Amino acid sequence: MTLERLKTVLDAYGGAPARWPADERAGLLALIRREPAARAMLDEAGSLDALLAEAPGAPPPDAALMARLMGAAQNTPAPVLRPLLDWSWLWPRMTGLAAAAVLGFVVGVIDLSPVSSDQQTDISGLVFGPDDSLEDMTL
Amino acid sequence: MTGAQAGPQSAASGSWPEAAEASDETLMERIGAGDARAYQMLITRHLTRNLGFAHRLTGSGHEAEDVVQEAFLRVWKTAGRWRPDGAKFTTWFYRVVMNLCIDRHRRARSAPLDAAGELVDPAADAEEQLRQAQRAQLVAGALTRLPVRQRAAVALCYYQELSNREAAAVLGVSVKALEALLVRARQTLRQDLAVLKTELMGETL
Repeated sequence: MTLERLKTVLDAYGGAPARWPADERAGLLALIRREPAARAMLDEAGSLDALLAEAPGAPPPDAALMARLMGAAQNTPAPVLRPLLDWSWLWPRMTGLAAAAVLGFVVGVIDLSPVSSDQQTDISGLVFGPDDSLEDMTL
Repeated sequence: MTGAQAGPQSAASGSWPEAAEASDETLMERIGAGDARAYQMLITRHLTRNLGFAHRLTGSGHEAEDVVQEAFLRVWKTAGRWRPDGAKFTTWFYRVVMNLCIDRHRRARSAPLDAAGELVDPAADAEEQLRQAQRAQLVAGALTRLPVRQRAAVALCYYQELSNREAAAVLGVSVKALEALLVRARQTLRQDLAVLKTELMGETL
């Protein structure tokens, strides 16, 4: 850890170690312990921190605000189901459907391709048995 | 088919015993189904810190209340479609509040901001309280004069006490970019408040 990095951290996060990047905190504190110049930099940063701490915050929310928030929701329809015009949820499903359709088309095209006579023979053999047995079946 | 329900269900009809322990993400699911108790629970958890954040950004208590109302209403209306996308609800909601503040700031850019924030009512005869109130107003004014993203960075890191990674996530920037915002903000504040320090405390920054 270097004095240069300490200066950047102090310029950004101020002098409170709790605000420093967690993975650098230990290294920076070690640097401050062994380097007087680093200690001086830390003290200087604390001056602005003290002023910033004086900025007034928001008053805590009261019951009236809570009632206002709940009341605003009461008067606003909550879309329980997905709105009709919001089709974003449909796209992942459509993608799957389209992929299945393409696959089905490809398979269909392959099945419809012309079958050679040899293949026809083979197929009829599988279905009806050898040629002689087919003749036996003829009345 | 669109399902729209007129307002939240009553607390009784939407009640469930584990609401207090439920994660924000679970509450969002319940809110998406119109559960008023889950909505109330989420507001209870996040109202104070986001009201404070909005107050830091707008410099006005009334504006801050309007912003958080708009932000929570957005939760109510969109909870059914909300997807965390890797971000925590807290981060996402801070971002909603911040963006609403920025939108308001842009719309009202021509109008001067409430530069010093809301006046602190000092005790009439207590000199130190008066000085303290003056300092508080001047610091609030200096914060309000910062560019809005620098102001948001300071508010998140200094007042909301988010880690640098969480603050960067809210702002949608890298940690390095967050540091650059903070460095510029502190430089400006240091210059702006140097006069104050000299006048009120007899010191130099």
